[in-house]
Amino acid sequence: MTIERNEKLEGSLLEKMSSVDLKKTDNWNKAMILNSAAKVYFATKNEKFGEFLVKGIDKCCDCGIEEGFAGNDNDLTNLLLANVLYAAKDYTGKDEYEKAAIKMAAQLNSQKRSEKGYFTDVDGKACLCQTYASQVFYMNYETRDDGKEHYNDIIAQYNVIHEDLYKNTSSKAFKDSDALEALCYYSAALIDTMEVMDQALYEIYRQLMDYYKETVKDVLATGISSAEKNPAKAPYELVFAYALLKGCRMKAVLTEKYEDAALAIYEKYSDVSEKDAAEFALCYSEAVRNRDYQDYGRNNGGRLWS
Amino acid sequence: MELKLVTNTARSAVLELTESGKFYTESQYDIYVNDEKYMESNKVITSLFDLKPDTDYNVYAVYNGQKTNEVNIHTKYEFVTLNVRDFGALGDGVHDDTNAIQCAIMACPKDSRVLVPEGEYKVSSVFLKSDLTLELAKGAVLSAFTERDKFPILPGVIESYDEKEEYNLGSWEGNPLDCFSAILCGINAENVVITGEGTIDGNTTFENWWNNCKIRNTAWRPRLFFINHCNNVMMHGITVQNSPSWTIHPYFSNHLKFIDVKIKNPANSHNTDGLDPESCQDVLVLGTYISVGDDCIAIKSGKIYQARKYEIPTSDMTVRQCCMRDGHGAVTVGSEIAAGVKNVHITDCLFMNTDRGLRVKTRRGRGKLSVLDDISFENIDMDNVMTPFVVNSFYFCDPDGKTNYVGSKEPLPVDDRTPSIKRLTFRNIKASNCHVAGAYIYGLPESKIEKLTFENIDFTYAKDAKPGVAAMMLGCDEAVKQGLIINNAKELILKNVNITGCEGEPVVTGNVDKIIK
Repeated sequence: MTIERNEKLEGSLLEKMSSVDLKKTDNWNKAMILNSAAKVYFATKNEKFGEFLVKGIDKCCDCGIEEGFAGNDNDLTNLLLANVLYAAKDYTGKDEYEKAAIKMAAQLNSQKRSEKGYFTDVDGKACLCQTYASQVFYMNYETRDDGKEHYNDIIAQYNVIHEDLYKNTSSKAFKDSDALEALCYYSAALIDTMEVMDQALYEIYRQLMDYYKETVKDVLATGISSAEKNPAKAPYELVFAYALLKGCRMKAVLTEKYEDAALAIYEKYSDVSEKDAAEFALCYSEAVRNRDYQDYGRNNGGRLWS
Repeated sequence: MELKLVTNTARSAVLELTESGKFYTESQYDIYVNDEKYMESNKVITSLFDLKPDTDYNVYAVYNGQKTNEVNIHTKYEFVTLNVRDFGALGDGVHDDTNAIQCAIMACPKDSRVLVPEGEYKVSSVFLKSDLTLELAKGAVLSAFTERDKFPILPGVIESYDEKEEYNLGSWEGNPLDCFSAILCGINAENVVITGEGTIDGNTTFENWWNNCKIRNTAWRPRLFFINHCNNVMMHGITVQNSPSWTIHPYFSNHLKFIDVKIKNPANSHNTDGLDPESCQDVLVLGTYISVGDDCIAIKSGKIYQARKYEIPTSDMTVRQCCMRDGHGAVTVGSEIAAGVKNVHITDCLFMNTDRGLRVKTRRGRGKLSVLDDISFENIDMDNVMTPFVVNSFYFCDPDGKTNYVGSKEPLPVDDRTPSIKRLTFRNIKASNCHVAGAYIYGLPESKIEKLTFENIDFTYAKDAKPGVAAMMLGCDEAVKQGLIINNAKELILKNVNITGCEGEPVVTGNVDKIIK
């Protein structure tokens, strides 16, 4: 099955995403909406999504762009939002967004950690899904602005997370939708982290890939792609489909074996509600990009990914 | 002095005039074939071309008026010659001749040759096949395009359908990554000879491949010559120049010969190592001239991922009668050496104007499989080499290269990430006009160099010695005319080592367990 670019769909998605008041919604939703807009822009070059991204950031950064997003101290969703600033830098070329991201990265130094060394939220609670909020930005920041000195910390955190949280969560995923949701976000965290790292440290890249493969196989084993449509599950199922499509594009998994499962989820939620438009847009961006990859990105400025 | 046959094909032969010098003979001499003067030479290793197949030849040299012994050569049988012009190649410097040359190669039967006659043949990427002799005649140039979209890509890793194995094609700096196919490329080929007096020209400039060269653009830059999982490959006689990246890159390949090859890249070009065998066994480099922008020869065995997966070091390598000049290192071991390097011997060579003679580059994190053992340098003349011997176990490469873990001079626990160096031997070496130091050797404090031998070595320094940094490691500052700086070794042997003209103590050691003089 091939997903072609659909401008009408893009218009509809943008309309749905625009209906959310970004100032009033929480950090997680804010970040999902803005990140999704960025992803759709980079997949389609549809300027409306780029403009939406920039306007959205303007609206949310009360104290000016260079101050970044306001948020509760050491709330991991701050880091999810910070990634939006890097996307805006890539879209506009303006350094102020990157400076704001660097400023927000200071949180990485004070972020609460578990006894075993991985980030937890302010209340000390740990969940696999938090990796999606924190580790992708951490890797992006390290690659772009911190000399990659903390790559070892990132992989050390993933190693412990996989040992400490993953096995316990995956064993429950058949029956526990919260566990399945965590796995879905974890799969997206892994593939997004891989995407923004420097492959010169290939052993780290491959370790993340191994974790990613194990995760998507465990998620697929639950029958997620053939399960009945369930609006309550739409956000994380779509995030999983996004992660799976991206894994196909980045050759982390075999397209011919895995793509259909991702597209089945995509099709299942094609009449997405306003509430889940961001997750659907995320998935749409990868469904479109996966086609570009067949030409090694040459039509898109000549880069394999990122 | 003896004239020896090194090897021959159906159309060429390689001769060695022993005890006549290092790379260059002390006098020019004449070579006679069937009693007729055939050529003059000033090199110890000399090639004869334009011989006929399946034919007897009698060869001798006249050196300083003295006739040498005679050598009888019977050239090999040849079935047919496939002239690329008969396959549609124009050699006019304009037409894309890639397809025509590739057609001739694919059509070539066993015991035959593909001949590229005089002319400029524009190509992108030409692939070798098994049982092939590719001859570039005098005046023939395989002249590479430089546009990315003309080159195919070798994917780094392709996963097997059952998801249990993987197929690795592309390689970049020790990792299996997507890169453009080389200008001349062999994959799973065996019994291949590339010979002749012609040239492969990468045509690289700072306007194309060397522009923004540290950033991957679509895929990593191509090599000029890349062979992956090939056996019995000989490159002989040809000139290779202006490479986009490493010039000659044999990868997981065995039984290789590089004889009388000329490797030339501008001194200011980026990452244009001359010859980089990576996880290869049985490699001979003979009579080869290398002048490049990075390391002349860099011996490698991959980074951690490849080393753990395949565990194949580079081993059983000989470099003899070669001339290296103008590179960062004449012979470098590293830095991608996670599977180790063993049994490497460099003899009878000239090193001129390089930053370093021997250059070992390793660091914590290369892993316990990264064992360097039985590496020797003998009968070498070095002139104007900044620092003849550098062993750097704190090389600050890779994203984490400047962290405390890599740079700490304090002993750290030995674990799976700790590399080791065993036996290094330097014997019968004349190092004239040194600048920075005679030797700058740093093992790891927790994994000392086991045995370091310096024997019959003369160091002298340039009158106008230029200061420089001996090793790319934290704490190594600019210096001039230092003697031997040796740290972290178990056994150091210094026999008949003469250091003339250094400033300060001729030998400064630290954390060396035993010194034998």
